[in-house]
Amino acid sequence: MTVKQIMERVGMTQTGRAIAYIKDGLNEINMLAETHITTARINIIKDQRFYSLPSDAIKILDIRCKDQLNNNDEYRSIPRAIGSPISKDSDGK
Amino acid sequence: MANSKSYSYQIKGNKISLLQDQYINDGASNSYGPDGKPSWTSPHETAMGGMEIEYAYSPNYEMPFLQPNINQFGLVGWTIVDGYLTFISSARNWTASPYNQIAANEYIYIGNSSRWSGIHKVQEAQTDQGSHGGVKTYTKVNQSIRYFTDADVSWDEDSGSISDIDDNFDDVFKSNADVPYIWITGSSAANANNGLISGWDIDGTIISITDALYYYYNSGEALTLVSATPHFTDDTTATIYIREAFYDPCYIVSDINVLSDESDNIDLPEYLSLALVYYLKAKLAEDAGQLDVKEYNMREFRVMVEKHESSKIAGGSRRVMGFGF
Repeated sequence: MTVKQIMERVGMTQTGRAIAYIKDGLNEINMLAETHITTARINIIKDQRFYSLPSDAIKILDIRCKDQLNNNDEYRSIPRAIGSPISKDSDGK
Repeated sequence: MANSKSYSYQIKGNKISLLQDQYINDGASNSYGPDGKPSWTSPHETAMGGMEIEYAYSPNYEMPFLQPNINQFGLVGWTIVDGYLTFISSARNWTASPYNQIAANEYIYIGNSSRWSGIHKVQEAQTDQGSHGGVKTYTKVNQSIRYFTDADVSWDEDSGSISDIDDNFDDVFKSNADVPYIWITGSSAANANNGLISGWDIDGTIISITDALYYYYNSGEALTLVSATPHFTDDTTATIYIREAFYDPCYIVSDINVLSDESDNIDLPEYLSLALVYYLKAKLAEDAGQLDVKEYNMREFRVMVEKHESSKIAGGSRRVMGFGF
């Protein structure tokens, strides 16, 4: 469906406003229904604790690490930790 | 054969806090290891491409058919110019074919980046001899980096160094332990004088690359990243621009069609496009102060989205015991 078809159904004439609301709606739909999914691979750096989330991520679905509980170079899901780790990050990175 | 590892994560604001259990191979995985040290610490080894994040994103753009070296090009990383995100690739002239498709005020897509995947708008694209030599975008970065510029420096081929560097460079950049990667631009003698370098060293007024690595893509091999010992070509009394940079191999795609006019197609199934109509009606009602109409339309929107999700599950519910299969 095109933007024009959406606007006709809604009864709008302001294209810019319609496109802004459509973009908001696409975000909302992907939070609920995850229609578009992708993966990003990040390098793990020794002694670096914090890693930025991808800037276009709306909803995180899974985080996997290489060799997680296996010796076969497989990526497996890692668990989410609850509570604060005893060892604090020394350099803030 | 790789060693088995054990990781866990937490979400801290807009970042992932990654922890690694250093005692996994000892069989103990409690808060403390057998020697009394904490088990879960920051990752204690580097792993290239070691973490994979699966996420949902908003389809407010259309990607072209990817053609390496035509509309898809490799990048070595990024830096920051005047507070704006700038993507870089060694010895690359962004104003010449085929790279000049990436022009000012066009939209680009960045893929495989650890931080910047998605759509950006180009502010400026330069040659590698320019003041930043990259693709500067309109994306603001809330971060500061080290920056240095100097006129009348010399690239020396025989010694593999850059000489006549002002003393300030040492004060600002200190060492490669503080700044692992530097992005050099400005030389007009040879493309290979400009680019991303690691393992650099400073001795007084001389930057040495004896033990350095240079990161680049061969001409015609758009997505194959190479790292090799850098080789300079003589260039004297030139202006140099050095920036702290971040190694982040990724790619850039041009010819992106961002949702911007009435003829653009929305990349959604037909049924969800109808749900989107309810969403727009809800937003219009909210603007008009008609909250009951807004709530009605939002409810219809959510019902249609949930019906669409349910429609993808075939047959009745079946429960399986166990987990981690």
